[in-house]
Amino acid sequence: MLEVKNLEVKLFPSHRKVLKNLSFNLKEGESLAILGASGSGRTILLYTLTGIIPEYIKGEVNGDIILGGKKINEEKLKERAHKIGILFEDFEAQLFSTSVELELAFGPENLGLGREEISQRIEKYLQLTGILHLKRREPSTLSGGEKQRTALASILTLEPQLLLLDKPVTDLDPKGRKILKEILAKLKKEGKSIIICEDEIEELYSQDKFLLLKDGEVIKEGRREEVLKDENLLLDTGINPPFLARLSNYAGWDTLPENLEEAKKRLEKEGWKLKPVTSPPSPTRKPLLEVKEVTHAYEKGKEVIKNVSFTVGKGEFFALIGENGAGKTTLLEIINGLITPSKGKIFLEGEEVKKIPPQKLAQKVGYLFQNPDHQIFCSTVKEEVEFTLRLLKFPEKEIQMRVEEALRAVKLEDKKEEDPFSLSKGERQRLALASLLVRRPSLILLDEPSTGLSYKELQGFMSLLKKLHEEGTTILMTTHNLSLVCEYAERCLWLEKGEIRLLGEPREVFTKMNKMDSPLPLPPWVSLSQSMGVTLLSWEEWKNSLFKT
Amino acid sequence: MVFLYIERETFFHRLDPRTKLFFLFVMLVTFLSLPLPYFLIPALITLLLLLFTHAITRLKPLLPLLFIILLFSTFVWGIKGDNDILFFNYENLLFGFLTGWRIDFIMLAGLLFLATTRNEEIFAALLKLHLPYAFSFAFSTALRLLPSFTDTGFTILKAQRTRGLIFTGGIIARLKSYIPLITPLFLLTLRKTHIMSMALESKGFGNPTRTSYIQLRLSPLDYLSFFLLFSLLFLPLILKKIGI
Repeated sequence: MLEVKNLEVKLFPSHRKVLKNLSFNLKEGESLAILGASGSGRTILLYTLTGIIPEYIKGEVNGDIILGGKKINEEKLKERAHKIGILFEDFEAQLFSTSVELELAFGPENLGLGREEISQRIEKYLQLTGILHLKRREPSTLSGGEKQRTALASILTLEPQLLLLDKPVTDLDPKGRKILKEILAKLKKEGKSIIICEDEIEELYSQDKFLLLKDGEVIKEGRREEVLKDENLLLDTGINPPFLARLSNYAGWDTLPENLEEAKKRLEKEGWKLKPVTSPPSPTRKPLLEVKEVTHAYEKGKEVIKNVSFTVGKGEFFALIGENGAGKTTLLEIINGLITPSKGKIFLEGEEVKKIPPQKLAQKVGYLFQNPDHQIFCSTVKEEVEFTLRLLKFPEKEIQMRVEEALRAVKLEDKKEEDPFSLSKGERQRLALASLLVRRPSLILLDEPSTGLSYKELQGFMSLLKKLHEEGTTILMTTHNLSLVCEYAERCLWLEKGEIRLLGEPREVFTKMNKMDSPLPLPPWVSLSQSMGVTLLSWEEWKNSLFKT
Repeated sequence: MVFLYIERETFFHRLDPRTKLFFLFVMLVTFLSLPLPYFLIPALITLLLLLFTHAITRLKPLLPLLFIILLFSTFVWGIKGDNDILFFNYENLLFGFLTGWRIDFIMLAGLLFLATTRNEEIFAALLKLHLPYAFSFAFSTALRLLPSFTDTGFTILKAQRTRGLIFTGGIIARLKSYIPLITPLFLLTLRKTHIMSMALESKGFGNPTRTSYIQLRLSPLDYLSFFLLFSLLFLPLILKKIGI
């Protein structure tokens, strides 16, 4: 269906080769996952296939792109619209209509279709993506997952043969991810081919083919076994090998299991068992943050936080988990005094947050927003980090010292004089972290820190946090990335529709979750271990626990 | 979310967007030109329609602005200068007060229009009126983007507040504290627009044979409205003719 031959891309004005000699093919109904670190050329490949490069982003494209037997290199972006559809990472920016229905009509209108036909397509794809009930809704009032499904459906109404997805899961909660997976499976059954580029490897495991990219070159291409089993190659390319590949190598299997059920059957058949593992008891801590009977409603009668009470100890690493819209961010903003709750009180080191003046609070609590670009505005990295200290009129010597210290902590000391906007996403996030570390806060709040970061960037960022935590900083993060909770959190709180469902150590919470009807799917290694009667939080634990009888 | 459009099934919602554009035009002309007491006729029509279409529920955020316009207009017009002495004069004050109301009512008519017409309908209407395609789309989309723009603004405000930014001091100091807000807003909006234009292009935007899912058709009600609006335009003439 799709054949790419010797594709080479240079971008203007630098004329740097960003894709080199790239070849692969894809059949009807097949899906291809593009793996690679940030800067490996994944998004550039997607943009080149649609024609955004060279038409919209100027560059030079050599080689062949053959779709359905026809070379489409010369075709304009517009002409490819009904052949290739692309879902961008920022799904909000691609919605521009005032209702879901009209959003879906936009593409077919451009194709010049009649009203009857457009209307049929709208119905069909609303149904397929499961958003028929949202037909009359205003897109900007939808949840993240619903917005994405609307954006996806609005591409499907053009009925492209090939669908490109740029980091579709990074902003989705586990439930949204599950729904997306189901939709993609349906599309493949209809014969659509799919190319998906994503950082979270576990979400890609079920694809048919894989393409490993490094610095614009194909390192490896092929079926699951050929690409995913080579753990060292993956790690070299900056990719975390998926759990089932690790397990297969460890157990000495030649082929990869299709899914968790198959892995379980194989383990049982070969007599593998799991030893129970217990977490070391967590130290007793003095309370730092106390949330007491907090209830909040933005509109009368619509409570988004319902009677929430919990305590975070001094030096603790605490995680708030739950679906998008469960109230996590609202709770974080209440804790930081950005929102005054309708009922209840928040205490920080025994002092009521409401009564702490904003500039004093800024020195006690550092809040890292989900998107670092909401705060970066200075022309050099150094100025950005200095900002709060200058506002608070710190002495010059103190400022210099603290800035040096903070930049060293986030490993940006070499980029002091650089323009923040020339940094990568991972670096910008670290910069935002540095600009709160200079205040030496006793509590750091993080809102979904994993969004949009590649595996390597995320690893780098989380190890910084771990170090801060070991040095005594208290950390409270919201996340829907449960593997972060497994690896870093000492305790976690599961929030659902503004209410506390569970609170405790991750192992304890995940074990209880398994018995409840939880809408949050757990990471694959947790699920598989639970189906074997134990709750394991990491691959390390698996290695220690797995034994053959 | 600050959205003006309200989904309702009223006759005014169902009017063709071209009729509503004409309504807007007639209101603009009459509010600016009609003397008292004739002015009260389009004013009353606008108020009744605002109530009837529930557009009145979107009035609240606009109220301070309307009030400021009224106040400002009254005092600016109300000042009379004579031999380097400035004083208020009853006649001028009254004139300013009335002018304030005129501007306020134009805004209310605009609110009514936006609360009852979808951007896509405005787009379709502008196209039917043979305005250039890109212009029409840009105009209707700009209206749609305003809320997401303000949303981003609020998030940035929160982010900078947590870094200790407060708005106090003299005018210069205050203006300076807006830099940390405006720079990220500008850059984020730029990036968003960039993605949006890529998304538009990749969905085939700009095809000259484009069709419209929204079908515009003038109903008898539209013709009736045209007639009534037209007569409103010539109200003073008509009244003079029949000798009132």
